[in-house]
Amino acid sequence: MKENKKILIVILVALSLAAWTSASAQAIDGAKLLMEVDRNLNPDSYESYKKLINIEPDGSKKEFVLFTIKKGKDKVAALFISPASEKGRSTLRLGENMWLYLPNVGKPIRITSLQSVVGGVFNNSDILRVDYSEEYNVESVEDTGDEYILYLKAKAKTASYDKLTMWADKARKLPKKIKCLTEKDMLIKTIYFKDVKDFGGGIIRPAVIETDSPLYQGFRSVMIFAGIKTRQFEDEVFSLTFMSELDSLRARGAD
Amino acid sequence: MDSHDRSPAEHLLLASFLTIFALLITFPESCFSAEFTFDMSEVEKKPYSFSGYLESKLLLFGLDQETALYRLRFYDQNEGNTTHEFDLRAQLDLGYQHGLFEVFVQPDILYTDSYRESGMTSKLLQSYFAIRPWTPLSVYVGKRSVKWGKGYAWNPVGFIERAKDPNDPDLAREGYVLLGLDWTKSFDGALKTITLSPVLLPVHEKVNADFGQVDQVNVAGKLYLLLFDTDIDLMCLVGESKADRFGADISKNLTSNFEVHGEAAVIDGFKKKRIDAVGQVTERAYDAASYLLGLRYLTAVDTTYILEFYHNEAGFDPRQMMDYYSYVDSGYQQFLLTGDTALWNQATSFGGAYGGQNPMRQYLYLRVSQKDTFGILYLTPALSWIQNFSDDSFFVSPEIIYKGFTNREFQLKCGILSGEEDTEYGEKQNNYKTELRIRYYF
Repeated sequence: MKENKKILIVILVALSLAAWTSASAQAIDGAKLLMEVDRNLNPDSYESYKKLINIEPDGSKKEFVLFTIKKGKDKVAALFISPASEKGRSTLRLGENMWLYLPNVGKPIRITSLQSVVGGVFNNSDILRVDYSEEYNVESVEDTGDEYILYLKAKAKTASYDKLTMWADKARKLPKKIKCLTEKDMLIKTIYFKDVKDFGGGIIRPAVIETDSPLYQGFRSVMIFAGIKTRQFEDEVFSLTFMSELDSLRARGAD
Repeated sequence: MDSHDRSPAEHLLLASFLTIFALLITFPESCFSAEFTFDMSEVEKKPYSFSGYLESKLLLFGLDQETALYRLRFYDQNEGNTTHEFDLRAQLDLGYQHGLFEVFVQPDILYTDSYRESGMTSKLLQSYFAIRPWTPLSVYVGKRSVKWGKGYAWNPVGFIERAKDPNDPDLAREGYVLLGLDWTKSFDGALKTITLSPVLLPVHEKVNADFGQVDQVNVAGKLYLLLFDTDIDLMCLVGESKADRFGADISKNLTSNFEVHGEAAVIDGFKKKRIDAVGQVTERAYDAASYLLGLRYLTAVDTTYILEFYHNEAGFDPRQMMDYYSYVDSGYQQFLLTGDTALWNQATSFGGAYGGQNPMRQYLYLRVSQKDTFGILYLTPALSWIQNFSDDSFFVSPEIIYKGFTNREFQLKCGILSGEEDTEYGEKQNNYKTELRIRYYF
């Protein structure tokens, strides 16, 4: 009888251990997953070209082309190449700090992340996207089989959106859709990631990002990526004095 | 021929020209294509760049014949109740970049037809050569607009720039001939960036002559810090052309839609010349402080508020302004009685100081703009208000801007000036102004 009791205890302990180990293996490290999503979206340091298209309900559209550079988690700069009315404008983001340089004004001015330098549905923080893991904490992750749903909460009040819900492809660990929400769960906009493309150099990511918003009924904005490539930059490139000279990086890149 | 002499047929011709100009630059473009394409050939970079804008502007001024500044300007002529002005402007940006070197030239060509003058003028807003031997360092020489300060409407710390027009703060301004450099160093931690920007500004009969006393070389400098996510600048200007001055500015985003900024400056031994009601000119030297406090706030429905308070001890107080207006009035009476313009000439020589942009001591600026109004993308109505706290006069300017057509910009702007007798806006020559501006970028 005593022997049976011992066997029973050993079995129970073994079962408990097995269950605990299995549960641990299945728990998803949300923070690590979000960092993986960030890295799959962009290399740590890179340059790219973006075309932003604002589409009105009647189908008319306005296009902007930007040269964008990024370094690390939170340094981004962008230069408007076209149209002519915007040419030479540049924007810089260092963490939650953002500036806009207008050639005629001749000096950078601070802007806020909720403004939009191009109008339309994309705001400044969408255009000057830093790593999601830099701005948001992962509150929870859901595994739905073929995708993860990440529930993100802003780290600081200066973030554009209080909450994000991100649907990510499980195999590629790339976002498919993001809902941007207020603190009270009101939908601000939905961002769709489309057309996963091989840009070379191991960069495989969505080439098109679309957004719509209940606040802009009938309007859409689209961002198309081209020429994404890994490139190293000195930190000083991400400074106010360099904002008027971002074009020189394109020249050097072409040399 | 003065514009007020124009016949109705000529007015019609002018209006027709404006309409044709507008139609030409707004000729419908292919903007309804359904497919989104992005080819790398669209972003090919050339060493040369040629861009800029053409602008057509029609202005209508409502004149107030009872004001001091009207009499000062039109004492010997009758302009009637209104006058107008037509401007055609080409501002070009010409650049050449090769490796580390850059040359940039920005000419501004203006054809004006107004009651004052009719003809073409041109000037170089900027013309400089720059070299960036390595990323943290840039050196430049030539005529360059160097802008300091965080204020939208005013910049008390703008020591080496021409005065900003608060009614059109984004307008390009002519630079000064300078030799300067920018050296930047980035860090990790609370202090993220430091930039040192020393400048040499020579003043000679033919170079920067309007800056101050000639045959001097002035030294200016700015130290920029990005510290605890806050922009901080410390700046100075020392030399013999102007009184030495020292200043600081600050700017920070408090939330994702709220920015605050400020500037403060002290002019050491500022010399202020004033003229009293009987024409006696006195000069007093004192340390004049000035400061500006401001904020920029964006609401959930995309309304932007810019609010700034400006205090300037170098300005005139209401008593001093009243003295000047009395003197102008005396001069006018003397001219009417005797035809003698002696008093008049002295009053005119002070016109720039008293009649220029915001010559008094305390102002409030408010600008409210609403993006994409009535569901129309790129349509932005705005209202700007400048309140003179020293004498309770004000200037209010509603405007509407449309940027819906690529590279075209339309602006309709009005300005209403209001104030009692002997106040700044009450004594301006205009009591309203209407402006239609069409701009084409290329």
